[in-house]
Amino acid sequence: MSAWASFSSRALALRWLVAVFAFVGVFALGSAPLAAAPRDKVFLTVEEALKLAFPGCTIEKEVVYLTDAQRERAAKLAEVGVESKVVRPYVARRNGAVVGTAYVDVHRVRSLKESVMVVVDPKSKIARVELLSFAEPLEYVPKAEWWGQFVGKGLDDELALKRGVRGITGATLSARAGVEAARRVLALHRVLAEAKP
Amino acid sequence: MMRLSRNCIAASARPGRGARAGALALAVAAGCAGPGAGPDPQGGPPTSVERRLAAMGTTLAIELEGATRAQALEASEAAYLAIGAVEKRLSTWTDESELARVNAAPVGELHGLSPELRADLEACWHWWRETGGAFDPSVGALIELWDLRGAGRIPSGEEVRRAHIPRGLPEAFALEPGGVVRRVASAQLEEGGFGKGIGLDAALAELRARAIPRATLDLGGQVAALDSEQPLRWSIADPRERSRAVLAWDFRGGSIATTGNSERARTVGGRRIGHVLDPRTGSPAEDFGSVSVWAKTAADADAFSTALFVMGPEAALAFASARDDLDVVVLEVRAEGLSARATPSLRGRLTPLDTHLHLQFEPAPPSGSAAH
Repeated sequence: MSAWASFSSRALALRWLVAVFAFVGVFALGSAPLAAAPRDKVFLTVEEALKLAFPGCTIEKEVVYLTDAQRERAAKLAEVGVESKVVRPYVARRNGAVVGTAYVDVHRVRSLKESVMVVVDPKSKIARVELLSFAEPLEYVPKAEWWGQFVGKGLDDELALKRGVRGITGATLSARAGVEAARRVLALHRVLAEAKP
Repeated sequence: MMRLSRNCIAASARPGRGARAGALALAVAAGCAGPGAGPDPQGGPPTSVERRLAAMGTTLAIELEGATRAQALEASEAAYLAIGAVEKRLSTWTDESELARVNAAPVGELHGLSPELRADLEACWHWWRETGGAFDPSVGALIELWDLRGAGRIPSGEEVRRAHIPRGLPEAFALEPGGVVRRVASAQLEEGGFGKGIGLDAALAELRARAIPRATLDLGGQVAALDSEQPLRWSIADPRERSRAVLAWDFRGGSIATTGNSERARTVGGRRIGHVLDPRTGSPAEDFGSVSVWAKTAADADAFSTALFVMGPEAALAFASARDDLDVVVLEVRAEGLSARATPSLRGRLTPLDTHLHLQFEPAPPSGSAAH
């Protein structure tokens, strides 16, 4: 049974709701609805962000369902939770060669969500990070020393608060959410790469 | 794992909900969204775009108006890419930038420069001369010695003496017609005091080339804006708590940069170490609060804010009062509270946001000074 089909069952729907409201800090990468809630501040649509990140490229949206083992491996690699089995990478190609893969990570900052597009380059390093929407009051958008530190880093680099990435006084939740999103994307990217023939 | 579907993304961009309605809120302008922006050829209203991206190890906030959303997005991307190109040239957080290659060049050998890096380095020499050595990017070895990019450490006096280059930039490097020469082994250029400013200027140049009528860029706390007939408002943070604004500053373009330790200071063995080095001593500059500088270009604002912090409050205000191209605000943390001293050219353009903030202007305004 696919994850999507099982999701429709009442038991799992309840589990999903509990997970959402329990604020576990980890949210469905790609499986959460990309349309923003009415109160969200929307900076760019996913389509706009992809078009800007990959000019002149063909972009394929894939939908990948992870096995339990793959999800667990991604969570172990990321050192953060990976709740969803559904991953939606956007693979950009130019002249047939992959130039990057984008993921939209939707996660909670304090009590509301933000969505961030993370682009991973062919060397599995983060090449671009862009905030797409933010539901918290805008003063909670980290103003500095945030995602910029992720660019050029891979999963094996010191991509964690108080190691390779500095924390943000007064915006610790934002910082943590950003670090976790970056690690989650890189872990899922690796798991997907491992599964390719 | 199942790969269930593949969809090609439509090539045409559609404006997002809310993004179209976004005003230029970053620099809160009085009547900022009024007429005057570039008209749509079809007669529609100008469109504003806001973006938040990672750049130069920090967050870049872009807010601009264009005739159409497509034009505004294209221009914002050009600005972002311009900053990326400067980062690729200047970042010493990687070994692959052109500046990092200069730092790795053998001592005594001429190292060729791109026209862009030559211009950057010529500007550094200019700032070094203007500030009497208070601005000096050749402190890379000292930054490493004090571990200012890490947890911080207290080096021995002997270590500082070995890494310190007493006469500064000209003793460390020679800028020759054919390139640059590293003169001593400890000579390492560091972009922290000017890189963001150069990036912002490059971004604004892209926006001007596209006739963007209104734009504000915030790169990790340094703001730069296209010239505006209507005042833009920027807030200056409490140096003890960067998330708290204590002073509002009205300006009409140019750039405001702030240098202070804020939460970037390290405490090692009970000793607080600021992240700004005094190149004249080889040790961290005295931490009194912060210095904010307005200048016409972002590079000048960045470099002079660094230098004026190193100089300290009295010398910084005296330096600014002797010239008419800089506006300066010095915030000092004192036992009785936070105080602000500003150059007289800022009269009428500063508004305390904290009722306890004591604001004064000094020294007396020079005759003929212009309001920016």
